Amino acid sequence: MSTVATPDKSGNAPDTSAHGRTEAGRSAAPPARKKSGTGRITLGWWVLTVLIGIWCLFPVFSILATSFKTPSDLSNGRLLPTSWSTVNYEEIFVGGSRELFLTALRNSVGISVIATVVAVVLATLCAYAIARLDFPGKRLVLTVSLMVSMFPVISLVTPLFNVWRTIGLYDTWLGLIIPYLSLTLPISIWTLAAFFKQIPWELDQAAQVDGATPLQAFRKVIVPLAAPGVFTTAIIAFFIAWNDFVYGISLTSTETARPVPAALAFFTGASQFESPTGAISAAAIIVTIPIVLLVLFFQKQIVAGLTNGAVKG
Amino acid sequence: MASITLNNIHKTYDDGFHAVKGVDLEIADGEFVILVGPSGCGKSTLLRMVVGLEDITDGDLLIGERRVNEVAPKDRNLAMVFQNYALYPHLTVFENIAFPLRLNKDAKLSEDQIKAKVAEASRMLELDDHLDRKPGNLSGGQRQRVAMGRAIVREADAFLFDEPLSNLDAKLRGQMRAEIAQMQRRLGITSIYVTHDQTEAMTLGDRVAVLKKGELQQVASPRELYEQPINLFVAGFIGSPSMNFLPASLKSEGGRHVLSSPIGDIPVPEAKAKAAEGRDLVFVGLRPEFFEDASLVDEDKKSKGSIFQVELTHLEWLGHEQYGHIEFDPDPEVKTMLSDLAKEMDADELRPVVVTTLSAESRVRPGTPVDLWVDTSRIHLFDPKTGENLTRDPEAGAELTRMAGEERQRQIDLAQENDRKKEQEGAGHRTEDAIGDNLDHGTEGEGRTGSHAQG
Repeated sequence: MSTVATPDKSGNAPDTSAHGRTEAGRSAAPPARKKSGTGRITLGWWVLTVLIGIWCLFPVFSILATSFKTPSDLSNGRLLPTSWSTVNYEEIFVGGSRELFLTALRNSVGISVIATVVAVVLATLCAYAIARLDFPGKRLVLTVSLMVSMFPVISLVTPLFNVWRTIGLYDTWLGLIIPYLSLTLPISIWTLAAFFKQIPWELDQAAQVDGATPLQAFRKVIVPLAAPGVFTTAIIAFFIAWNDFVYGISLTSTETARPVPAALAFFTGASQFESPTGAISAAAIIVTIPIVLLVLFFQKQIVAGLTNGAVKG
Repeated sequence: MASITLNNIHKTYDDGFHAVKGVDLEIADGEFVILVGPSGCGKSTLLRMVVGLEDITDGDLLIGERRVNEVAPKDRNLAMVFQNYALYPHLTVFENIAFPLRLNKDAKLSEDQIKAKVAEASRMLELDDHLDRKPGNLSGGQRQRVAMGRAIVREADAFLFDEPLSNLDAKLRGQMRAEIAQMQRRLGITSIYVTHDQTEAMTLGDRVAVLKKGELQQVASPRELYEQPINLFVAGFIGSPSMNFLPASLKSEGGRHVLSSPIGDIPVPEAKAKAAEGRDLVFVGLRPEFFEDASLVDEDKKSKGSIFQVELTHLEWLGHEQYGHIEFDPDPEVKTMLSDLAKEMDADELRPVVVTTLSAESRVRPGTPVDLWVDTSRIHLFDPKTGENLTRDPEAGAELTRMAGEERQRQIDLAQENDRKKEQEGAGHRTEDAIGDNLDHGTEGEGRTGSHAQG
């Protein structure tokens, strides 16, 4: 099952890096003078870029091709379908898997958006305190949040499963939002703290002298200035929640809360003897689309946000 | 408008550093006070304590009659201009200036009132053409004026300036200095101005407070500081080129008093000699302009000073005057004294050289012995141990400061009288100090004040 989820994960993550490299290749090009040496280096970059691009995008392309195959075509051992068909898309949107997929999609969107919003709001407040205040245990907060994000998810799932069942959070939206916060909060805090540290302290002070309460200074001056950072953080947090599989499959049992990556595992073929590979591929493509769009539109912000965290954190 | 009183203010940081040590200062309503001193002397800390951005460890701070030690910055009703202007990069110039007005809940200003107030401030600062622009696209001088606009518009009790001109180039700095001075006089508002630039201190201040290592050295009018400094530190800090200090011992022979210094024997009048009595060694403080080529000094003036022979080691001709350098070989004892003095002055080292300002017409040449005249009536003698000025005349000093106070009142009245006249003439659209016009052309965005570096 996890093989189904992996391609869409590895499908978008290297996508960013492939874009990053393309940019690097381009930026190396302009200073190229009429020297054969620089020309060769540029050519080298291009070859490397193309190779890496193929390496990263091939699995995505494979799924894309599979999603257009007819059921009889699935095991023909060829990459491209013999005849292109949208039967799999019909299956998940209007056919037998419709109920399963669309509720899962609704769950995924709802849970990811709520987890993102909560994470960003909490992280904004937390990161501002970390960037501006000198309180005991500041380093501890940062270290612990980093440790939490490093902690292997799989080892948390079993105890969480038991706790959630006891207190009635099992198979609910909230039961997924809370563990997602543990994944999204640390990175949000780190990224935002780096952004806030860049904003000159004088601005808060000037606002306070101008008659603002600390909260007003934060809301009217700091948050607007950190907006790009907040935005980046939100996108990253959304990815994390959207792509989760382990929590999604372990902490849900019915359609009330099951997100798409987990729901894909429950697809069935038209008959018992037919494999649902085509429908799964189509669904994987559909859930990858928002991620790809986000990356394409906001790659500049994302790269800036990530490098900020890297240098300043 | 209000007076500001500092009573025995202390600041100790969490790490135990004692930054401000018991400062007492009374700033009268409408007065322009400069805090000056070398870096790390606590002047900015003091200002930030007044505005409320730093906690006051001990002592009382009063604005008007009210003790404000624990009052939040927003409730102190002070306006501050920061060193880097601290303009809000996401707001237009108009919104930047209007920002404090919009926050003022008590006044409940309508949009029209806000517009009128901003328009008035922007007219005064010649910012009318830039109201819709963002601070990132303004030149340094324009940003500076936006920061001032944000302060003016408030009708605050006092203005606080934290090295506001240090980010500008020399030419703009001169213009803005004049602009700040005129604005302060026109508004007649209490102002505290922090700087390390002594030109700003001397030209802007009604009174200048000299700080060293968190301690107030002397608070007086610029003239008093220059002519009647209280100690070695103030004497050396104020003035450029700075005062020369020479270790000297007093010799008295039959009514003639001579200070024997490394550059030669200098005869001094009786009054000065008396001050040095009972001390083996004193520091002689000689300002460069006390010296003159003896051949160019009028006969009647000559008697006020004394003439001694010396060899100039180096001469710098500047057109309006020339600087003659006299290097001397200090013996080891003098050397240690000079390095102690350097420490006292908070400088790295004091080179064994005397700088003299000579008239540009003088034909003296380095390397040959020349006769120099020195005005001994104005020299100061300092105690080498305490740094105390032995020849200070407190009464003369107080008189200078009193005169400066009168002058201030006269200027405020004059400036306000002028404003009133202008309004009556109805020609109040453009202020006559057309300094702004020059500035508007230099619109190079030298880096954004804004923060986030995106992609």
